[in-house]
Amino acid sequence: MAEPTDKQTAPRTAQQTERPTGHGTAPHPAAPSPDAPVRPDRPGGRARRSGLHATVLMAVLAVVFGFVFWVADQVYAPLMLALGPFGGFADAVLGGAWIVVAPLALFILRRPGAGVLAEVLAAGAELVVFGSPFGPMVLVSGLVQGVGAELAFTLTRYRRWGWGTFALSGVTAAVVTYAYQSFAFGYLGQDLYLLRFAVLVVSCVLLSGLAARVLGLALLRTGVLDNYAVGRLA
Amino acid sequence: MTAHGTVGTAEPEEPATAGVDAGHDDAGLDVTGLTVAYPRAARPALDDVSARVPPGEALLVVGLSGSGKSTLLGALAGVLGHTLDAQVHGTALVAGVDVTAGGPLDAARVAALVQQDPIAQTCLDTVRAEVELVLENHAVPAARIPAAAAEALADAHAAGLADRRTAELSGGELQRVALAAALAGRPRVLLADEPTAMLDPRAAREVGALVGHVAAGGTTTVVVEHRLDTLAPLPARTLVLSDGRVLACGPTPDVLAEHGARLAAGGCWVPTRTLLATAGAPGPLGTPATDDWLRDLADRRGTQPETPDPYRPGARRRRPDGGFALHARGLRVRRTRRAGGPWSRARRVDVVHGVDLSLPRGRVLGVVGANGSGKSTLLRGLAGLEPTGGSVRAGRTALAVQHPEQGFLCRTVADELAYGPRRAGLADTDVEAAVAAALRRFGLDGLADRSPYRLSGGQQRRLSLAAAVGGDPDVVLADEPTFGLDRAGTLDTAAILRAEADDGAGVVVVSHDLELLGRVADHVLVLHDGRPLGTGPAEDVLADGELLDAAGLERGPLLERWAGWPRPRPSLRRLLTGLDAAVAAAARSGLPDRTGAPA
Amino acid sequence: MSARPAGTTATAPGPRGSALARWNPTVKLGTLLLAGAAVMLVTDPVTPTVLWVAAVLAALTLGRVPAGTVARAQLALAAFSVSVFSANLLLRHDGDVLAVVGPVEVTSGALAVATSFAARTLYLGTVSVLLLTTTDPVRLMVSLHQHARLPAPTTYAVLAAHRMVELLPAEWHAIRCAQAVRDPRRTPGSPLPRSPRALGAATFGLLVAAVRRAERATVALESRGLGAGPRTVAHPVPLRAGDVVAGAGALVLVGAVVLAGWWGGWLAGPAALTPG
Repeated sequence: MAEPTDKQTAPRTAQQTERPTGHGTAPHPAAPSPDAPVRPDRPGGRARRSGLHATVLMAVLAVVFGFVFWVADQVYAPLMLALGPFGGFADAVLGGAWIVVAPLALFILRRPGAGVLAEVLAAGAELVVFGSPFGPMVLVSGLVQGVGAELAFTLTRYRRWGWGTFALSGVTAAVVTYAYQSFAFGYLGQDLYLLRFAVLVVSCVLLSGLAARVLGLALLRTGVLDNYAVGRLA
Repeated sequence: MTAHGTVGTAEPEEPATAGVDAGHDDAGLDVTGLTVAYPRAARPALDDVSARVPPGEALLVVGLSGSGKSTLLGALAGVLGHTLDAQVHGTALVAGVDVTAGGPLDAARVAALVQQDPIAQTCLDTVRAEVELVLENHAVPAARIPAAAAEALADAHAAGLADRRTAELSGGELQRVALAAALAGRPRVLLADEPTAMLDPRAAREVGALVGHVAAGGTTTVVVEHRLDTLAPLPARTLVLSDGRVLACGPTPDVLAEHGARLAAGGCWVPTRTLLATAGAPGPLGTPATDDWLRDLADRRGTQPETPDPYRPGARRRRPDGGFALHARGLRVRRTRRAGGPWSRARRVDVVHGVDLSLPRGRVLGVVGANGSGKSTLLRGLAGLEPTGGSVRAGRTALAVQHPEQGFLCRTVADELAYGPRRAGLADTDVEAAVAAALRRFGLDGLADRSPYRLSGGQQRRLSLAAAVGGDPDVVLADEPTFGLDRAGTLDTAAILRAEADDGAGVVVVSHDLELLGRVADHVLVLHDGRPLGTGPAEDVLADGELLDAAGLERGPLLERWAGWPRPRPSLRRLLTGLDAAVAAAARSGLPDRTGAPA
Repeated sequence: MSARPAGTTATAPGPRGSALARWNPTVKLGTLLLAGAAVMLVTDPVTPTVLWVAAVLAALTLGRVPAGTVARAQLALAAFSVSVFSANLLLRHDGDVLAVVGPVEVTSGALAVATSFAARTLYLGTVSVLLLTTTDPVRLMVSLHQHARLPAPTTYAVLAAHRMVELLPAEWHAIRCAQAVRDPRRTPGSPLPRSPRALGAATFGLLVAAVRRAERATVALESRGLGAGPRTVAHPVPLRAGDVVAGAGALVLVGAVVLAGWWGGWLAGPAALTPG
């Protein structure tokens, strides 16, 4: 911006430039590659991390998604009702979106267990904060979904973070979740049992696995993840 | 060059203290050769900083934007290099604890931190729990916690807030709670990072007085501030940072006398006394000589255009002349409230009632009122974002919201600027031209490919304004456009809004900052509890102390003095802009170059 | 969602002063989890219906949840329940054909399973509302820390996120307004856009703001010494024998309802889902 008052004084940026917490402290020439292996940010190993940072983030992701899903429910519930018996199908179509927290937490934190914990916390938020129609069993659902989504990363020993692994995460999430839902929601024995499964797999791959990576990369660009594992990859 | 500042009375150098711990007697601060570099940064944010603060003394840290003052505080709190990534070299002993090695948990044993953002640093949903958390973490026996919490709240003048929910509190109240939580742990060192930056003027003054009182009361204190006009009393010692290095360190009056002009020109809100001295006033505010000097300043500067539009010299006007940009009669604005959580009944309530306003093109209307008076809701109603009653007639309307990040939609700054023109159906070449012009006009050159979220607060504010005025709207609505900005950013914003009006837009500015309105507004509307309490020409309203008081507003010392003068008073706008120009001139003439810090 | 300091709840009116609110929250959560799990493999209509009625009565009496709140919650749950009911009714074929609606046959087996799942939805949802209205989040987390050995940093991370929940609706609205007004083609006075794209953009804005807040909350919690070492608890949540007895009693009741179905012959398990 042109300087109306003091052209001769030094170039100036507004006061928040220097805040250590987020706003651009320096030129960021390029977003870091999120596929590179993790390196410790202090070679001397002096950094002491309490783990609180990651836990707060997971809890916050949980409530934000809990809130957004609650809002989406309000917006789309009439639609679901109008679809009648196929409302359940709409559920399968959008089913993957409910599992996006687990792969997103793994994308950001890159640590075993983050997916399961984030998904359970999200379920807890749904239960305690928003009053889920699934009752306390939503915690079990969360656990099942989290384990399903994280399975792909466990199978690749938490070393591969490319599109393939996230797509696979959608598949594992769909398989594990559907096995549980077959009993819990009584899908077992319904018509179109396999078709519903196929729809869920596609939904989970697109709306859970791949969407998490898209969302993660977009968040990475904004700089808010600079102090988490994914932001530290140089 | 090793910049080294020693604060306080000369003390014999203590022998090297190996393995110092909280039990050690030294409750002061000892920073040696502290260098902090953020990952991917071109240069270190702090470069070889050394400073000492003896026990019980208070230190004010000031500096131009980007000088590293918040970084210094982050390092002292043990956060940098631990919770947040940074390469930290050198040592910082806080009450004998090496916080650069020990991190925030070691630092927390001896020091407490008050951050800038009142909402983000409040962690729990009741005030009591917020304060008790600190006591629990310090393993205070449960039986003693209630009394200790009450005591801490009382120390922070927040005793009346003990039973409140944090979601109900204003920013100023939350900062008092944050201070109570900080004091609850009986810290040997209090660290405060711009505690008043995000508050309205009245709350800023109250919190500033509170922090000033604690700092004067024998707790070793380090306060980072750019709003020196709110901190009272100022700490006895001041450290000036420039580009991560120590520029000066010494008794506050001496440092302000020497560097006041530079700080004012560089963005600090310096005390009025310093501002006047910098501008060349013959004495402090209130003396007859200074009154005469101020009147003369207004007359003299008024004869020439003191702030020529810096953005479009000779540019042709983009909007038609004459007529009304905005016309509202009996305007009501409703909000939906859901008081008791997701299962409770939703209620629609009128938040704003009975507002009449007529805004001609080329004019700026200021809207003032205390927190919760319905100012932001009124703007949303005018923009057609909330359900309204009564009548509103407006041309094409743009709104720059209070928190710019909330309105971002795109991956890059250039895309943000292109979004409006593209949606309006402009051809690609026209869109490109519009983006290039906006980047230049708003000083965002070189940032076109940056994520808007990675901009500094001031840059985000400019981007938001640029996007709002990009389509040459008939009405520009600006919600607290200077919120959280430093002095220079505030003046820039004022100039932009005035330029839009001069170009034929009707401008509505919502602000707490009465001086800002003195600079830009032609008319002022005072809101109180969603109803208009008064309206009139800006200078009449700003001179009406009773009206402002009834609305919970207060003037700064300069406005107060101006309002106390007998009529005819000189034009307030000329007085303020004249003073700005005098400060800028002083900064140009008598200051060392920014990079050439005296060795 | 209101949270008073733990310890003052006992005297409060309404659900927060009820017997269910005084019940140790960890025991309550565990009990309700088991009570919910008990019906997961049940597919007959009677058992979940009985439990649903019991849960509603418990909410009204033991939980002192206002009837209006219970009713509104049932209405919201009913929408979901109807969807589950119709899906199972029309997508299953087992037993006698009761009616033919266009191309679809409604069978007796399908009706039983559909009714069962609909009642289960109402039952679990009511349990959820019961938990929501009678549980103070701070007390729950303190109790989980004390009685379920959840580490303090985790409990306070959750509480910090919970505090953020109250800010989310206002922030969400502000973001949607701020983004909507950017569109030059928007008609003033029209409702805020609800397209998936608009909601997605608002979600992203909300996420960015929330992650920034998370970082500042982390700094605040750490600089206040959370996780630094041994800590005390200002308002410990008591765990009395009575809490456990109440839990056991509730589970015995649920067990009795299931057993009654077994003796009475109406209980059905997952086998009913895959006839033949």
